[in-house]
Amino acid sequence: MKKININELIWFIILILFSLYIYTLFDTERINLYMHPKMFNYIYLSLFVFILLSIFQIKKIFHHSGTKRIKLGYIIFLLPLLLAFIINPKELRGKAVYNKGINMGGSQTSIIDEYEYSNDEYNEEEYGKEEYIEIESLEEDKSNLDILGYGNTLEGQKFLDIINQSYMNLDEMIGKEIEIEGFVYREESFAKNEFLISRLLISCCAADAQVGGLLCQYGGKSHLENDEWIRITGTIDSTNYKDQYSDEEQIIPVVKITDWEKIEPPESPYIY
Amino acid sequence: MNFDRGFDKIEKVAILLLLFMLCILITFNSIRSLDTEMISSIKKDYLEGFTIIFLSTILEAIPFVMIGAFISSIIQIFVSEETIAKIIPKNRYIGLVVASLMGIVFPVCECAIVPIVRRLIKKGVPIHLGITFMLAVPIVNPVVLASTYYAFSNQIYIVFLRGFLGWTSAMLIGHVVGILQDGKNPFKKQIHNKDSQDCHHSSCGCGHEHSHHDNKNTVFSKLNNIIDHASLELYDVGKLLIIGAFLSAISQIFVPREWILSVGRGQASSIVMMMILAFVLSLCSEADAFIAKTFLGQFTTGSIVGFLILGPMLDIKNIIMLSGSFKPKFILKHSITIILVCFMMAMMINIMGI
Repeated sequence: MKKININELIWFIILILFSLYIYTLFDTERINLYMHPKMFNYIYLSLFVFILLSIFQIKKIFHHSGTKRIKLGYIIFLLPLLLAFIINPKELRGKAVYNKGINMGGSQTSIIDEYEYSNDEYNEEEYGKEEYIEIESLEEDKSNLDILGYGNTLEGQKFLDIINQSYMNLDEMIGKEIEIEGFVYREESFAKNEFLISRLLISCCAADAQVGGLLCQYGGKSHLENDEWIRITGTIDSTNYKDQYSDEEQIIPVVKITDWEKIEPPESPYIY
Repeated sequence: MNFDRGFDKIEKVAILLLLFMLCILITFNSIRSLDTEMISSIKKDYLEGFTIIFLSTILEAIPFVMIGAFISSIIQIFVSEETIAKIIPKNRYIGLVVASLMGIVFPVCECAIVPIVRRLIKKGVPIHLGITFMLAVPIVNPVVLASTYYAFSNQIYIVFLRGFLGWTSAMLIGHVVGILQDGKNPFKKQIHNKDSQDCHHSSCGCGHEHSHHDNKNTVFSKLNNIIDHASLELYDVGKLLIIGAFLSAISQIFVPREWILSVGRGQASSIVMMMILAFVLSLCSEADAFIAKTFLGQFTTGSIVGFLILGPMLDIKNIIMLSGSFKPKFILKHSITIILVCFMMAMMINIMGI
């Protein structure tokens, strides 16, 4: 039996493991947890390259080399694989994310411009209704979505639309009833009956996730916890918000809740 | 079998830390009786988020590292030193301008650029051009400028500022570093296993061990060489990428946002803070514009531009990759020049009140 080069064998195993891992990400659709769909092509490329390198690596396993020492550096490559396997993350949430920043108040215009996709005519048609706002013609209007808007589920897109409209055309939105799904986020600086209904906005990969949402006020009967997914029904109103750091006062939308219920976290919780 | 002792201190430390972390992780997960409230809340709050941020940074960067490895290998195999010597403009200043504009035809991520530049400099490209190239390509390229435009579509002046100042900074820094380095070799000695059979293969000089049994110039053997090189390059750079992503994820989780926001208004302090942030976050230059924009209302314009210029040039991921090839003294000169020039540019904007 030919002598086996341990180092090359380990590298081969690592390459195969990475290939498998990336393949599994796509297969289970977990990849959505990590990446914006526009990046998928690049990840396919890396999958292809991993497989290619693995194939070429096979021959090298049998190359005899003078040394019998194991390169310790291979452990570093095992770390991401082990973390992925052991922790097996399902959702991006918790304190880790909040530390990345919340989008409301001061830089809200930034988030809106970024995700803006529709023209004004479309808005008037959709939001002219007095009762519940329902985005039925979303499917038809796909042509209006520019590259930053795609990849969203219907609920996700609805969330985005409502946020956009509330921040940009607050005057038109005041008094309208809406129904929206998201998770709860509260900071200490919020009043007891206030919270943000939010979703995570991803522009390229999970590392740049931002929490974006609408301020809500409710009757305060039950205690809502951070990260709980709920669906709320309420009316849009405006309120003053004082930015802690710039001392500027701004008028921002707020939803006065009339009803809410707990829901299961959706399959695709992000907004792109 | 004994373990290889001849490699970097950085790697040794990293590996010790990793082993330590692994022990903690395995303990958390396997001892069910310890599955108390506290542990599962730590896991929920931090570990999951950390893992996702860590993995997504790696997943995002790996394709580009691979692209860089392949381009570097291709240059290695197909472009000889003589060709490079002919192409380089004689005039130093024209050379700087040309090098700084290469990003337009060669849009490469900062993760990919280090092995390419290493290869180019080893092939004879002078240091000032290599550095300018390395710093300019991740900024002055159509992909990055487009994504900056998407992010700042209502503040288009930011796109121009980033492009123009990035371009001039790259040339300035390349020029200065070239002078400081004064033609000395910036690379550190590659450490080899003493009893490897073919260490310095003459036409390669990359310090990897290979055995080129046949010197046939067939297409297949060339392809084989490219893939070999790329694989080795992936190992070298990948190690450093993972370490860098790890550090970056840790700082994202554990540095409180409040600290960051409280210095937003000061002319100089905002710049310092944004530059530190750019360094620590190690974002790819295609994505960093979106993060920068979230600071728009609370931070001075100069600091945001500083973030957008420093990030592609110097950050944790980058520095760790540089440490794999370049001497520490060189890296120090290089980093300090970058920091000073970027700070200067950002300060100029703030003073001018843009």
